[in-house]
Amino acid sequence: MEISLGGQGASSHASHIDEEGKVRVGMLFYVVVDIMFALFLVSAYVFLRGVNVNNLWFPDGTQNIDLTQTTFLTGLMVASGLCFVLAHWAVRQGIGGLVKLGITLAAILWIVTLILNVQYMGHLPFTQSGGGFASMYVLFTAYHIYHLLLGLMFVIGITIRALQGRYTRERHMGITTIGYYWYWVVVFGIVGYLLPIILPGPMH
Amino acid sequence: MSWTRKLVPSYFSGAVLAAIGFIVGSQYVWRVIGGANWDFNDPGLIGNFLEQGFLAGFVLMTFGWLIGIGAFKYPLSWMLGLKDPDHNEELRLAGKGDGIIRYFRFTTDHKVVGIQYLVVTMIMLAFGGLGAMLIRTELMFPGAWAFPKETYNTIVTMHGMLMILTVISFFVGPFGNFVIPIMIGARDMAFPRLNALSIAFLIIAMAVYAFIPFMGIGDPITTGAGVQTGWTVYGTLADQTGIGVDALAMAVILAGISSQMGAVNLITTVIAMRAPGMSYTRMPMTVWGSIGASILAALGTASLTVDLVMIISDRVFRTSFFFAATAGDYAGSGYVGGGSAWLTQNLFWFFGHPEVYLLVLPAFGFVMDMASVFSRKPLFGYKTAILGLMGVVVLSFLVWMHHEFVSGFLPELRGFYMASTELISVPTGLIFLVLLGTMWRGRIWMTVTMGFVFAFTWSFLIGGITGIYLSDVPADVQLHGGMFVTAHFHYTIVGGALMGFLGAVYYWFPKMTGRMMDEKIGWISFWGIQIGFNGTFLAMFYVGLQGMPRRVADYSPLFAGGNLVASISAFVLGASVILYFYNVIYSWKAGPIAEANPWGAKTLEWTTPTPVPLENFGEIPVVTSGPYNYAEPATPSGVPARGVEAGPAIG
Amino acid sequence: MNSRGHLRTPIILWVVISILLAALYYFLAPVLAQAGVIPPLASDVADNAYQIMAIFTYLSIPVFVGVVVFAAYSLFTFRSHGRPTDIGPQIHGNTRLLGWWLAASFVLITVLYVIGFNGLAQLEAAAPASALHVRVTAQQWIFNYTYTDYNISSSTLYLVENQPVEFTVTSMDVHHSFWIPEMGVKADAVPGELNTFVATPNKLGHYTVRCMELCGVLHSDMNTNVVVETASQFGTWISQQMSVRPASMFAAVQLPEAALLDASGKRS
Ligand code: HEM
Ligand SMILES: [Cu+2]
Ligand SMILES: [Cu+2]
Repeated sequence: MEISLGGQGASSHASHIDEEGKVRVGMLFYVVVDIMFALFLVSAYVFLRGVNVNNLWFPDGTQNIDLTQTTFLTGLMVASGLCFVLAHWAVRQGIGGLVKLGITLAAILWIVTLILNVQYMGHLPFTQSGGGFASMYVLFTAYHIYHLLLGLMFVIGITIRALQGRYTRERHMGITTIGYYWYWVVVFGIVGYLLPIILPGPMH
Repeated sequence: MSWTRKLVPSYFSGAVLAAIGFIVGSQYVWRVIGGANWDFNDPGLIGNFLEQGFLAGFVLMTFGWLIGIGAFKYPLSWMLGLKDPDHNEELRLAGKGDGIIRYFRFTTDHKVVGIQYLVVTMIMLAFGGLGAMLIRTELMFPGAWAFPKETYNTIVTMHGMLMILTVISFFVGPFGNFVIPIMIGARDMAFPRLNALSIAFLIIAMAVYAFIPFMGIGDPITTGAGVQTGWTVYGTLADQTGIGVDALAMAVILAGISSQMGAVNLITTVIAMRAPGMSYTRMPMTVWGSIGASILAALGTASLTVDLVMIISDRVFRTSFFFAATAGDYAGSGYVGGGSAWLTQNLFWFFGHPEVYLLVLPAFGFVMDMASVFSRKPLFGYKTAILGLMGVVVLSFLVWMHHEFVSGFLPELRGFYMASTELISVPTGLIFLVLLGTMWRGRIWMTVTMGFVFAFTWSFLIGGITGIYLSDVPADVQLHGGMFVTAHFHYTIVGGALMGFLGAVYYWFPKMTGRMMDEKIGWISFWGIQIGFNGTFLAMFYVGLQGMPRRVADYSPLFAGGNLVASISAFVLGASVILYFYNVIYSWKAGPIAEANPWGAKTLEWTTPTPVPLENFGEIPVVTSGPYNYAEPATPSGVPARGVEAGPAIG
Repeated sequence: MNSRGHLRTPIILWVVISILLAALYYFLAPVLAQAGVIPPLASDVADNAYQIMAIFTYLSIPVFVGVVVFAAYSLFTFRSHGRPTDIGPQIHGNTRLLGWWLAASFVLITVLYVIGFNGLAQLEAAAPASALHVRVTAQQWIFNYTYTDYNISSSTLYLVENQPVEFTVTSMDVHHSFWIPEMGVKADAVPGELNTFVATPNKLGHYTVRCMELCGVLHSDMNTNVVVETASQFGTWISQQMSVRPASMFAAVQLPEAALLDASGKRS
C-alpha cells in the first residue's frame, strides 16, 4: 500500500477522525442493535399469538389492559418526544431560551413517564404467568421501562448541558445523537401501545 | 505514583468489588428475602430463592466489577456535565507512561485491548479445548465410563458455548482491535472507552460462566447439576433443568453485550476513522471480513438475548413463553401455558445461523490477505471477494430454518430454506476462486501462516461440501442431530475459523509483541494439528454416517471403532495445540526480535514501527493506492513517531 | 511457462483423479454399505435419502478434486524457497474466469435444486388411505406408541412390511426427536405440537429407535426397538393386545405422577 506522509492528495471519500460523525454513526448503530432486540420481541408476540396452543394466548377470565391508561402513558411519551423536537429545532435556529425550555420539559415528561410506567406495571390486571399474552405484555412493559431507565443518564446529562448553555447553533451533536435514542424510545412506546390493539389479546 | 493509585482502579479492585457484589446480592436474596420463609424442605421456595439469589449475585457482581475498574467514571462525569477530559487525560487513560499494569486496567489504547483480548481468548480456547479432551475421553469407549451422564452433558454444553464465545470474540478481539485501526490509518478505535468496556464485559461474562459446573450440585430439586441443555439451550429443556442454566444465560447475555459493543465500535471505526485516501475499495480484506462479522453480530445477537431473557423469566418469574401444553399438564405449578416450544428454536437459530458465518467471515478476510502477502500477488478479484463476503452476510439471515427441517414448524417452507442455503455456496465459492487465483503463479513463501492458509482451504472445502448434504431436506432428515453434523461444523469452525485464527496469530505476532514466532516448533505443531484434526473429524463423519447421535454420553458398541480413532486423534490434536500455546508463550518471551515489516506486506500496519507507539502514527498517512501493490517500491518502514512516546515492548 | 502452459497439468490431473475417485466410489460404495458404514436401509424414505447422498457424492468429487489439485499444484510449482525476492504477476482478476465460475456454480446449484425438490416431493407425499396410524409420544426418557386405528398402546414399535405408516409425533415435556436410523424416519417431538412423518418400511427385521435431541440427563439411554413384521404376524400381535389390554386412546398420554411439574416448575 503506497502512502505519502506530506498530507497531500487526500481523497475526498475518506474522512479522518470525524469526531462528530463518529458519535452520530455510533449512536445510529446502537439504535439499530436496540431495534433488532425490539424486532425480536415483536416477532415473538406475533409468533405466540399465531400459534396459540389451546387458546392459552388469552385464557378465559383474563382481564384486558386498560386502554385509557396506555393511551395516557403513550401520550406523555409522545409529548416528551415533541418537546425534544422543538428543542432540536430551536438549537438549529439558535434560540437559546427555547432549547432550555424544550429539553427541560422533555426531560420532566420522560421522568414522569418512567415513574407512571413502573406504577402501571405494578397494577396490571394480570400477572406475568397468566398465559402467552400476559407474559409478552409484561416483557414489553419491562423492556420499555429498561429503555427509560437507561435513557435517564442521557436525559440528565443533556438537561444539565442545555441549562449550562453548552449547545450552540454550530455545535449540538449531543442533541442530535441523543435525539436518535429519544425518538426511538418514543417509537417503541407507540409500537407497544398499538400492538395489543392491532393484534389484541382475546382471540375469540 | 503510589501503588494504590496504580491498583485503584484496576482489574484487581474490580475483582474485589465483583466478589463483594456477588456476596451482597446472593446473600441478600437468600438470607434477607428468603430468610424468614426459606425452608430447605419446601421444594418450591428453595428452587426459586436459590436461583434468584444467584441471579441477583451475578447482576451485582457485574456492577461491582464495572465500578471497580472505573468504567462508570466517564459516563457519570458526562452525566453531571463536568468538564470533558482533555487530550492529556485521554492519553493517561490509554496507558501513557504505564508499564505492564496497563494490561490489568480499564485501558483505552486499542493495542492494549487487543492484547487483553488475545490473552483472554487464548485462555478461553484452552478451557474449551480441555472440555473437548474430556468429551473425547468419555467417548473413547462405549458406556459412560469416565463421567456420570449429567456431568458429560454439562461438559458438552460448556465446551460448545465456550468455544463459540471464543471464536466470536476473535473478530472484535485480538485482531479487530489491534490490527484494524492501524490498517485503516486511525489512531485508535472510534470509541476507546466502549472498547475497554467490551473486554471488561467479556471478562465478567467468563467469571459468571465459571460458576456453571458448581451450580446445582447436591440440590435435591433440580434435574442434574451444571447445564443439561447443549449449547442450543432450547427453552423447553432449559426451563426445567438445573440452575446452571441461569449462569449460562447470564454469561451469554453479558458476552453478547460485549460482542455487540465491539461490533458497533468496529463498524463506526471503519466508517468514520479511515485515513485520507483510504477509500472503501482500498481496505484490506481483513477489514471487510470483520465488517461483515460486525454486521452479523449487531443484527443477530439480540435474538439470542431475547431467547435467554425469556428462559430466565420462565424459570424465575413463571412466565410461559416456552410452555405450550394444555393447562392440565401444569396443574398446580403456577404456569398457565400459552407459549410455544417452536419459539425457542426460531429465536435461537435466527441468531445461530448468522453466528456461524460471523465466526468464519473474519477468517475469510485473514486468509485472503495472508494468501496475497505470501504469494506476492494482489488479490485475484478484489471486488469479487467483497461480493463473496457481503453475499454471505445477506444470505445468512435467510437460512436459519434449515436447522428446523424436522421440527414440524411450517414444513411448507422447507423448500425455500433448502434453496437459500444452497445459494450460499455461490458467494462462498467466490472466496475459493479468489484464494486459488491469488496463489496461482505467485511466489509462494511457505511460512507457517501460509500453511494455515492451505489448511483452511482444505478444511473449509470439506466443511462446505458436507454442508450441501445437510442443506438437502431428504438427506438432512437422516443426518440431522447426528455426529455427521458435529463433524461438519467442526470442519467449518475449527478447520475454517480456527485455522485462519491460528495462522493470523503467526502473521501478526511480530507486530503485536515485537518478536517472531518460532518456525520449527510452529511446523511441528502445524502438522500435529492437521493430523489430529482430520483424524478426529473424519472419524466423526464415519460414526455419523453409521448413525451415532450427537450429545450422547453412551453409545452402542457399533460405533466403537470410529470413536476410538477420533479420541486418539483428538489427543494428538490437543497435544499439538498445547505445543502451539507453548510456542506463543516461549516466543513472546524469547523469540527473535522482529523487524517492522518481516513479511514484506503492503498494508498500513506494517509501516508503523514495532512496538507500535501510542496513537500508532506520528503523522496520519495519506493512502494513494490499494493494499496489495507489490510492484511498488517498499514503503517507508518505521514511520517516525511524533511527540508520542513509544509504549514499552511487552514481556 | 505462460499461464496456459501451467493449466495443462492440473486440468489433466483434475479430470483423471475425479474419474478415478468416482469409479472407486462406484465400486466401493456397495461394499462399504455392506460392511456397515451406513445403516442397513429398511424404508422407501431411507432409500431416497441415501440415493440423494450418493448423487451428491458424485457431484462433489470434481469440486473437491478441482480445488485440491489447483491448490496443491500452486503449492508445489510456484513455491519460492525461502523469502521471495521477486513478485508474482500482478493480476487483479479475470472477468472471463469469474463469469465461467459463476455459471458453473449456478449450473451446479440448479442440479441440486432439481434433486432436492424432487426428493422433497417424495418425502412430503401424503399418507395413502391404507396407512397405519401411529401416535408417538415422547417423554423423558421413553417413547410411547399409540395405534390410533386400534386403540392400543405399546412401548415397542411394531410395523408392517410394505404398509405405509403415518407417525404423529409429540412430546409430553421437552424437545425430543424420534429417529429410526434404518428407515430414515426423523421427526422432532415438540411439546404441544403434532409433527407428522410418512414412511413405508420395506424390509423385515429388528431396528432401533433413538432420541436425537438432547432431552436431559438420560438422553443417551433413550433407545428402543422397532420390529418390522409381516401383516399376519402384526395382526396376531394386535388381536393379542386388544384382548389383553383394551387401552383407551389416551393411555399413553397419561403421565406418570413423577413426571409432572412440581410447584417450582422443575421436575421432581
Ligand atoms: C480442539 C478440538 C475440538 C475437539 C476435539 C472437539 C470435540 C467435540 C466433541 C466430541 C463434541 C461433542 C459432540 C457431541 O456429542 O455432540 C463437540 C461439540 C461441540 N463443539 Fe467441539 N471440539 C473441538 C473444538 C471446537 C471448537 C474450536 C469449536 C467452536 C468454535 C467447537 C464447537 C463445538 C460446539 C458448538 C459443539 C456442540 C455442543 C453441543 O452439542 O451443545 N469445538 N466438540
Ligand atoms: Cu445454519
Ligand atoms: Cu433425547
